[in-house]
Amino acid sequence: MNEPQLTDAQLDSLVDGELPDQEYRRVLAHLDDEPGGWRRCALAFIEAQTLQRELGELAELARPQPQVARATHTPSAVGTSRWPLWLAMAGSFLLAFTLGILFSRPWQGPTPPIDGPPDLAESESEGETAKGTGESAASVLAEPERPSTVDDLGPAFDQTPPGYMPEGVLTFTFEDADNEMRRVELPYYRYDDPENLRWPMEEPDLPPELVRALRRTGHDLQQRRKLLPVDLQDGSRVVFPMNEVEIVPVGGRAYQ
Amino acid sequence: MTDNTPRDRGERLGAADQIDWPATLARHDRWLRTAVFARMRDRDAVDEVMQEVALAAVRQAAPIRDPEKAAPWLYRLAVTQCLLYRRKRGRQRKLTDRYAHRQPPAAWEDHTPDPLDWLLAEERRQLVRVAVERLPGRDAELLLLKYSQNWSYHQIAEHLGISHSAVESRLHRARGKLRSELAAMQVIETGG
Repeated sequence: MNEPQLTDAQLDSLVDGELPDQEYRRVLAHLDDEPGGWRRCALAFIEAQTLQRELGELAELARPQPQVARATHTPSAVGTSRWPLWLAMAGSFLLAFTLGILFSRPWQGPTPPIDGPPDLAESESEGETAKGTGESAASVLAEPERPSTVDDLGPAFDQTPPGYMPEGVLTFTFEDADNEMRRVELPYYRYDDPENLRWPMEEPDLPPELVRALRRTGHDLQQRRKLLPVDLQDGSRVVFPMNEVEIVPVGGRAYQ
Repeated sequence: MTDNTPRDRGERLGAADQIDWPATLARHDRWLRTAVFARMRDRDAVDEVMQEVALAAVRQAAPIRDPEKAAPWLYRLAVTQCLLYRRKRGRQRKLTDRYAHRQPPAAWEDHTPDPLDWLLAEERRQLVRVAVERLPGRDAELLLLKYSQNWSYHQIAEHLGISHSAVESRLHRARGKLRSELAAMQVIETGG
């Protein structure tokens, strides 16, 4: 107990795995003797772990910016190194498609009933709705429904800001990666209603843990809210509010 | 580094007396960028400095023959280019600004800060970034290389061309400053 307290330098060397064998044993024994020694040791490990994560992310900023990397592509390297980019693009599309529905906003406006929505079954076709959302016509089936109230429309309508009433809802059926049929419901709005075109365009918010996880793996996120116009068979045009999230691999050097 | 990967062997190809600079630069690009970023704190500056490093390496006023010495040689070249770049971009003003930010609060000089406060903070990432920003370039560089590359002391020493004990003491000093900065920020946060 008369030995001096372990220094931070000794603890750092222990955490870094840089202590020689004899010194290593001595420090461990000392930790056991010192009151609060193991607490300091645990904190030093957690601190190192945190610094590794945070400084690792910070160092990612030093990597070449995407436009610079594209300028230096060589033909031979393109085929072997572009898959992360394609993966990111596919991921961003899927996210844009699903986030618009899955992540609700704290907009909870009044929910008056919708009187007499137009007969969508007559004005839409499967092919058009599939094209409008970017899905292939073979894998997507649009099933127009006639909602009676906004509450009937499901969670997608939680995103509706006060004063913006949907014209109806479309149910999309598609096959996911596991060949299972999935259904998503999207509200749509009349394009010719000037009120709808003034849809609030603030940035959609993603769950912070998702943003953190993506940034930790070296991706940059650009989030936008958009209205996606779709022409129907009867010549009218409707719009779908979409949350678009673009995931860009920051350090994606394709020329190695 | 003395590994014998195909890429490493490729650097030596061509002739025993000539280094394959494009391959060497590509191999050392990542950590050199980190070192430059620690000094410049600006992504655009990193790109420009790295371009100058590549040009200078290819021009080679004083050519080197041994591929093993390429890393420390490139590092010194990068540090020189950082200085030249900073001089070009109003070096004096930036140094003054950084010096003003760098003064650690006197209250923290005499005791060891407890990392638990900042580890528990929700804005932990931001705290770490601001604290690193306030460190001198050399300290930030060492910490970034250590933690982002996950290098051992030996590897750091080999790349920077300094001794093992110098790495140990400089790293310890840099961590101490980082802890002080983090602790000081936490004091301001909780006291506010």
